[in-house]
Amino acid sequence: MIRSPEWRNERTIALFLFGAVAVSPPFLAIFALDSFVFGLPLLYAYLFAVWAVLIALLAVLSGTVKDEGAGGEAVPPIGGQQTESPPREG
Amino acid sequence: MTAMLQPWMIVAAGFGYLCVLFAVAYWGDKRALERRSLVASPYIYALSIAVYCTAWTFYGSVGRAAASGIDFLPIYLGPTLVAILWWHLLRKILRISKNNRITSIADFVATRYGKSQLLGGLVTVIAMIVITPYIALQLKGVSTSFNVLLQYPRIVMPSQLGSASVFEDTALYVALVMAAFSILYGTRHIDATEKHEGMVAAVAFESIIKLIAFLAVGVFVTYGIFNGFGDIFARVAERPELAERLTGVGAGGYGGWVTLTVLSMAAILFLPRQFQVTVVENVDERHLDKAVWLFPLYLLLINIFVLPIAFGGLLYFPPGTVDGDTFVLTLPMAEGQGALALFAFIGGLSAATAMVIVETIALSTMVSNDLVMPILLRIGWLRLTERGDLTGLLIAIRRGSILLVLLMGYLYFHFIGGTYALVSIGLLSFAAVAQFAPAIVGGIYWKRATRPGALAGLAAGFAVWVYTLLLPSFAQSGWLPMSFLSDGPFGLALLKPYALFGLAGFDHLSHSLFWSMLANVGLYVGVSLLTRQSAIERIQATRFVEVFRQTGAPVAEPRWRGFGVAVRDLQDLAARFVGRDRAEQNFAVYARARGLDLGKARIADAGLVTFTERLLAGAIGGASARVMIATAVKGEGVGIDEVMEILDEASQVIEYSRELEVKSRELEAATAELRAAYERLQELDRLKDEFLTTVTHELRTPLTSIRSFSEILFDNPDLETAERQRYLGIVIKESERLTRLINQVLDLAKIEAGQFDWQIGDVDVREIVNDAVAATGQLFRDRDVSVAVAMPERVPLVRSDRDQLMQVAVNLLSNAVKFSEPGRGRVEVGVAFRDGEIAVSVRDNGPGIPLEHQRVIFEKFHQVGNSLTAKPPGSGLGLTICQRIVEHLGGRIWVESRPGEGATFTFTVPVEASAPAARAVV
Repeated sequence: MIRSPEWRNERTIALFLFGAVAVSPPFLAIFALDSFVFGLPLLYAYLFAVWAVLIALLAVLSGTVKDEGAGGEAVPPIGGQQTESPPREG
Repeated sequence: MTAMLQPWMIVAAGFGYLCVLFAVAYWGDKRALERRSLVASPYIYALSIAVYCTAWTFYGSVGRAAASGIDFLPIYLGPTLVAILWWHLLRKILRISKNNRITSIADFVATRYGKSQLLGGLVTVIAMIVITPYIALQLKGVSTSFNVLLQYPRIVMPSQLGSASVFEDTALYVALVMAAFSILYGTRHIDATEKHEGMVAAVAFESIIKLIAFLAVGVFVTYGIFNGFGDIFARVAERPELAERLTGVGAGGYGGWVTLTVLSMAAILFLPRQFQVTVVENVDERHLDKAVWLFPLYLLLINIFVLPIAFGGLLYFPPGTVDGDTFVLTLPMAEGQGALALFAFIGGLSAATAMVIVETIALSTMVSNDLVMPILLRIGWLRLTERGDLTGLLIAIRRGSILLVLLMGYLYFHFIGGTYALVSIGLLSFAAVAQFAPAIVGGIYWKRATRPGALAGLAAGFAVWVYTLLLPSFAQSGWLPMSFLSDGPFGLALLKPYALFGLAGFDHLSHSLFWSMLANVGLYVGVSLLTRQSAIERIQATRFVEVFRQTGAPVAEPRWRGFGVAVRDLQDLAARFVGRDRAEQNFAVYARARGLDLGKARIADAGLVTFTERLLAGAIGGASARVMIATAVKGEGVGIDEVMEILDEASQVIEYSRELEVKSRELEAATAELRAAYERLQELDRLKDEFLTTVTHELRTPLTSIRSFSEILFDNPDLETAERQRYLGIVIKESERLTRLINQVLDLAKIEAGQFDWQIGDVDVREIVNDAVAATGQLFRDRDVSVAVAMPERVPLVRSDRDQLMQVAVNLLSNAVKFSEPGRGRVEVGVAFRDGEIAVSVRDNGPGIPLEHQRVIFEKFHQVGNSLTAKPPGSGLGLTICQRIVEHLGGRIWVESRPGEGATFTFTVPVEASAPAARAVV
C-alpha cells in the first residue's frame, strides 16, 4: 500500500522511540535473569528478538512510500547532474 | 587441509585476495565509464555501508564478548536505531550534499557555517587525530592474525613471541601495503564529484566476504566443535565464573551500555568513512529506502555467532592462554582446519582493508581540500595560480596524506595500542567522532547556529576528549608519568583526567562523553546565541535547514558579482584543478544547458562564476573554491558580504510584502462574503415584513366581510329569507377562506418543524393528476381557461404521500389558472417517467415570470407581482409549501419561464425510493 511520506515519518519516529526504550537499561534489567529460552540466555534472546522486530518493521515501512525520485534543487543546479560523469583519465 | 600452512601461502593468499579486490574496483570504474553503473543498486549501497564492520567487529567483538559478555552489542544496536531515523536525518544530509557538492564531512561543516576555512581545517585535524587509533586497530587486527596464523598448527600468542624491531614488524608492512592499495584506488584522478564507484564496488564485495567468513567460522564452532547454541550456553552455565557474563550487561554496567549506544549512533553518521559511503558515494537517494533495513539486517547476521564463538573459545582453551581477540582464528586452527583458518584470515583482512581504504581516501580528500589547499592558497597563491595544471599537486597531496594517516596509525599501534584490546582502541575514536554531532545535527535543524558557536563547541569538546581519553592512553603506555592519572597534573586532584572535577563512579568512556558533550553542546548553543551570523552564514544556514522547502523559489546561493571576469579566465582557473579537458567539457555542458555561446560571451555572468565555484568545490572543497574565485573576480567595489546582506534584507522585505498581499486578498474575499450574507438577511427580513403585512391583510379581508354581514343580520332581524341566506352564504365562504389560510400557515410551520404527519403509501401519480384536474375543473370553467392532459399509458407506483402530492398538483394548477388570460388561456399538464423518477409538469401561456423572480419564487413570503400589477390572490405560501412537500418526499421542484411566453412548473417524485428519505426539512 502506498502512503504519504508524512505517514511513514510519523511511524518511524514512533518506531525509533520503541526501539530506544526496548534496549534501554530498565528493560534490560527486566530480562537480565539467570534463565534460558530455547537454550539461549534470556537477555541474549530478548535483544536479538527486539532487533529482528525492528528490522522487519523497517522493511514493511520501506515499501509504503514511493519516492518521487532523487531530486536535487527544484531549479536545475548550476552544473547539475549532467556534469557528474565527465570522461576520466586512465 | 591439515598440512602446514607455509608463510608464503598466507602471503600469497592475502595478496591474491587484494588483487581480486583490485579487479572488482577496476571493473566498477570501467562500468561507471560506460555509464552502466555497477553501484546503482540499493543492495550495493547497503553492503558498502557495512564498511562499518571492521576488524573491530571481526576479531574485536568476540574478544569483548569473551571478556564481558553481551556489551559488544550496543555498537550495532545504536546504528540500527539511527537507521530508523535515516528517512529524516540522512535524507536531509543527502539532499544538502547533492545541492552543494559536498565532498567530505569537513566540507559539510565548513559549507554550513559560511564556507569557513577555519572550521573545515579544524574538522580535518580532529578527524585525522581521531581516526589514528582506529587505523591502528585495523593494523593490529591484521598483523596479529597474520602472526597467529603463521604459527599454524601451533597456537602461540604474539605477545609470547617477543617484540620485533620496527623493520621486522608485520604491522609496518601491512600499513605500507594498505597505503599503496588506497593510493591506487582513490587517487588515480581528480574528479569533479569525488565519487569512487570502483572503490564502492570493492567495499561491497568485501562486505560479502567478511560476512561469509565470519558465519563459516561461527557455524563450525557452534555445530562442528560443539552441539549447537544450547550446548555451548548449557556448558557455560555450569561454569560459575563464566555464567555471570550471560546475565549482566558487561563491565560498564547500564551507564556504559547507554554510552556505547549513543557513541555508535554518532559513529554511523559521522565517521569520515561512513559519511563517504553513505553520503558522498550515494548515487540515488531512493537507495536509502532499502538500505534502511538491509544494513541493520547485515549487522544482525554478523553478530549472531559472536557469543557462541566467544564462549566456545573460553570453554575450549584453558583460561588465560589464548587472547579472545584471536578466537575467530585460533578455534579453527586448534581443530586443524587450516583452510577455514585461512578463510577467516581473509575475512578479517577484508574487514580491515575496506575500512582503511575508505577511511584514508575520505581523510585524504579532507586534508587536501580543507587543510593543505587553503593554506597553500593563502600563503603563496600568486605562485600557485601561475602554475599551469594543479591536478598533479592535488593528487600528490592526497597520496601524501594517505601515507601520513597510515604511518600515524602504525606509530600509535607500535607505541601505544599494542597492549590494548581492539574494542577499547576503537571506542577511543568513537568518543571523539561524537563531537561532530552537535555542529552537524544542529546545523541542519537550527538556523540560528553560528560559525563561532560551532568552532567553540567543536574545539572544546575535542580538547576535553584529548584530556580525558587520549592523554590517559599515553600515560598508560608510559609516555606520560602515571602520576598524571593517579594524582592529576601538578598534583591537582580536581583535574584528574579520569575523575574530572571529582566526578567519579563512571566508566572512563561515560565520564569523557559527559564532560566533552557538556562543553561541546554548551558552548555551541551559548556562543551561537551570543554571536551574530554574517550574511553568507545566514544564507547557507537557510539553504541547509530549509533544503526541502526550496520549491518554486529556492533560497539563493550566494552569488558573485562577476565584474569583468573573462570567461576564458574562469575556464583556465577551473582547468588548473580539474584538468583542461574536463573543465572544457563542463563549461560546454553549462553553455548548452543555458543556451549560451561562450565563444561570444567574453565577460562571465554571475551564474557562470557561481558555476565555476561549484565545479571547483567538487575538486578542492567549498572553502578553498571560494578563496580561489574571490581572487579571480576582480573589481569587487563592495564586499560580497555587504551585497549579500542588502540582497538578503531586500528579499525578506519582498517576502513580507507578498505575505501582506495574500492576507489582504483573503480579507477582501471574507468581506465580500459577509456583505452577500448581510444582503440576503436584509432581503429575508423585508420578505418577512411583507408577508406579515400580506397575512394580516388576508386575514382582515374575510374578517371584515364576516363582521359586516353578521352586523347586517344582527341589526335587521326581519330580513327576507333569501337575502339572509345569501348573506349567511358569504359569511360561511369567508370563514372557509380564513380557515384555509390559517391551515396553510400552520402546515408550513409544521413541515418546517418536522412535525408533519405524513401518510406514506403506494401512489399512482396518474390518478393524482387526474383527480387534481377534476378538482380544479370548476376554476378552469369559471375563468374560461382550457386544460389538456398528456400522460403515458402507465407509470410505476411510487411510495409517497398521496394527499400532499395532490395538494401540490392542485396548487400548481390553480396558480396556472390564476395567471392565465380568460378566454385565451391554455394549460397543459404532462407526466413523464425518466431516470428513475416521475416528472409532473404544468405549463401555462400566461405572462411568464421575470428571471429575478424565478430565483426566489419558492421562498416563503414571496409573491410575484407585488409591484407589477395588482396583487395576485393568495397568501404567497402555496409554492413554498409545495417545495417543502416535494423535497421531503425526495423530489425536486423548479420553474422554467421566459417573460411573455408562459411558465412551466415541474416537480418530480423518485420511484426507486421505497420510502421517502427521512430528509431534514430545511
